[in-house]
Amino acid sequence: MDRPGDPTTAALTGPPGAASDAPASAQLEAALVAAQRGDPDAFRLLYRDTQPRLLRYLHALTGDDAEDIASETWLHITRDLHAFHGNHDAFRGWAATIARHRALDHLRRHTRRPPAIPVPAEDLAGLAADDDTASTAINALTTTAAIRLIATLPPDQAEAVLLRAVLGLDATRAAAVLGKRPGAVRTAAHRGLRTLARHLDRTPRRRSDANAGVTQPENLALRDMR
Amino acid sequence: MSTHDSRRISRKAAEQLLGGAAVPGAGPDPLSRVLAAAAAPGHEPELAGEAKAVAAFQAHHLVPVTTPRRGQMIKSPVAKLLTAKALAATLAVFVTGGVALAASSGALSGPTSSQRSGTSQPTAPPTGTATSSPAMPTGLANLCRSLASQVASLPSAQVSASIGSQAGIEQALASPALGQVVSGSSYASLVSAANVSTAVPDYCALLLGLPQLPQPGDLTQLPASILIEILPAMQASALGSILTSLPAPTLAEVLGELPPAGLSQVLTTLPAGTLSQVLTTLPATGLAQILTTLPANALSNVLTTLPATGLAQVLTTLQAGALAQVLTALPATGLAQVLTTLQASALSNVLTTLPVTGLAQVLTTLQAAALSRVLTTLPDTGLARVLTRLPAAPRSQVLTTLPATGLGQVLTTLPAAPLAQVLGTLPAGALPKILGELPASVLSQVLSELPASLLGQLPASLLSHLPVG
Repeated sequence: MDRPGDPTTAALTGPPGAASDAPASAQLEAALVAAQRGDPDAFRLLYRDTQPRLLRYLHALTGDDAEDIASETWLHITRDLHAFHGNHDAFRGWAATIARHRALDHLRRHTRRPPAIPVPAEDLAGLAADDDTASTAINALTTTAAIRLIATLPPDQAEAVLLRAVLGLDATRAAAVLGKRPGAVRTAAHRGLRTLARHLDRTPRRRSDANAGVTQPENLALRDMR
Repeated sequence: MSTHDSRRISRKAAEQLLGGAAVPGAGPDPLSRVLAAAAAPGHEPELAGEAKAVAAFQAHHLVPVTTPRRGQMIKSPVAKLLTAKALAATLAVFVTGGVALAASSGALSGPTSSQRSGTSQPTAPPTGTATSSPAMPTGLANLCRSLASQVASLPSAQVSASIGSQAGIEQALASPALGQVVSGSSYASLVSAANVSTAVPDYCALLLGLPQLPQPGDLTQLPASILIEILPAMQASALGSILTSLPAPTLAEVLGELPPAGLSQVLTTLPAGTLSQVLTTLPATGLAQILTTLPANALSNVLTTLPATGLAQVLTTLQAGALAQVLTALPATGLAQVLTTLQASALSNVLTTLPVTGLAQVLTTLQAAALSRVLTTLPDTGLARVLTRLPAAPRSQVLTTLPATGLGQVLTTLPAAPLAQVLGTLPAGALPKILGELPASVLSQVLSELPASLLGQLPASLLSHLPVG
C-alpha cells in the first residue's frame, strides 16, 4: 500500500500503523514530551499525526459534527496536556477517549443519530478493484469511502475496527477506550473484518454494475451508540 | 477474487490486518485496501483546523492564568490587558506575520522544496511550518528596535534614557514623534501586523516584552481576524476585558465571524455581568445573527445566565422574526426560565412583539406552572393583547394547560370585552371544559362578566353559578 517511506516525513503525515514505524514513533515520543513543555511545533507534529485519525473515528460516530467535536477534543487536550502521563501510544488512547466522551455527550444532547450514509457503489468498486493500476492512489475520497463503509458495521464492531486500524491502538488500549475487556474488543474487530470482507465480496468490481447496493444486506448502521 | 473469504480470516490474520501489516501472500486484496485507505496519511482538508489548534495551544501556554493549578490571578487591569495583548501580538505574528515579512524581506516565498520532497501526499501541509514561525517575531522585534532608535534620534522625541535600555525604548515608543517615523515604508510590515500605525507602540512593547504599554487600550485596533483566533482560547477575565473594550461594530464583526462552537465557548465563559454588557452593546442585527448562530443548549445557557435587566434589553432589541427564532429554539425549561426572569413590562413587550405563530409556539411549549407564572405576571393590557392575538386552537390549549388557580387569575384579570373575545371564539366544546375547571367563586365572577350570547352556549350545571341579579 501507499506508505510514506521517508522517515523524516512520516511523522508529519500520520502514517498508518505508525506505532510499528520506529523513526516516526521516536519522533512522536519526543514531540509529546516537548509539547508538554509548551513547544508549539511539537504540538503541531502531534496534531498532524492524531487529528486525521480522530476525525475519521468521529465521523463514524457523529457524522457531520465530527469537526466541531474534534476541535473541542483538541481544546481539552491543550488544557490537560501538562497533566498527562504516558508514552505516545497512551496519548493516542487518551485522545480517543476524550473524543469518544465528547461524541457521546453530543449524541445525548442531540437525540438524533447520524444517518447511515450509503457508500456510493463507484467508490467501493474502486476500493474493491483487483487490478494494481486502480489501487495505488489513496486519496481523500477513497479514505472517506472506507470510513463510511466501516461505519455501516454494528457500532461495537465499527468502533473496534476504527480504534485498532485507524487510531493504531492495540487491543488493550482500545478496550480501555471502550470500557470493555480486550477479548471482547478482539472479537468485535474480528467480526467487523469478516463482515467487511463479505460486503466486499459482493461489491461489483466495475462501474457497469453500479446499481448493486452495498449497504442493504443487513441494513447496518452506527445508530445505537450509547 | 478476494483472498479473504469472509469465513476464512483467521484470528492471526485479523490481528495483522488491524495492526496495519500486510498479510503475507495476500496481495492487494479489497479488505487490506479498505483498511489502508481508512488509515491513510492525513489529507489536507483534515488538517484545516491546524492553525487554530496551534494558536489555542500557544495562547494556553502564554497566559499563566489559564493554568488551573496556579492560584495567582493577574489583578491589575493593565496587566490583564497586557496579557491579552501579548497573546494577540504573538498570534498576530503567527497569523499575519508571515505575510508581512514576506512582503518586506522576500524571505518566505511559499512552501520550500525541502518541505515538499519526500512527502507521499499530493498536497503540501498547511502553512505555518515548523521552521518558519519562530523567525517571524525576531524580524518584527528587530523592526521595533530600529523604529525606537530612529525615533530616539529625533530631537523632538525628547528621549532621555539610553535607547539600549527598556526605559529608553518605552520612551521612544510613547513619543508623539513616532507617528512620522512609523509612516515610512520601512515599517509597512510592522503597521500591517499591528493593523494600524497607532497600535504599533503597544504591539512592539508586547513583542519586546516591555513591562509597560506605551498606549494601553489600543488592543481593539488589532485585526479582527486575530481576535477571532484568540478569543475562544482565553480565560474569562481577559476575555471580558477585551470584549467590553471593543467598539460595537468590531464586537459584532468579531463575534459574528466565530464558528458556532467558538462562539458558544466565548459567550458561555463570560460571567453574567460581562455577558450582559457585551450582548447589550451589540446592534440589533449583530445580536440577532449571534443568538441565532448559537446551538440551542448554548443559547439557553447564555440567556438564562443574563440578569433580568440585561435579558430584557437583549430580547427587546431583537426584531420580531429574530425574537421568534431565538425563543422557539430554546428547550422548554430554558424558555420557562427566560420568560419567568423578565419583569412584567419587558415580558409584555416581548410577547406582544412576537409574531402570532411564534407566540403560539412559545406559549404551548411551556409547562403548566411556567405558563401560569408567565401569564399572571403580565399586566392587564398585555395579557389581553397576548390572549386575543392567539388563534383559537393554541388559545384553547393554553387555557386548558393552565392549573385552576392560574386560570382563575387570568380570567378574572381580563376586562369584560377581551374576556368575551378570548372565551367567545374557542373551538366547540372547549368553553364548558375550561370553565368547569374553575372553583365556584371564581366561576361565578367570570360568568358575571360574560355577555348573554356566550352564556347561552353553556350547560345548566355551569349557569347555576351565575350570581343572582
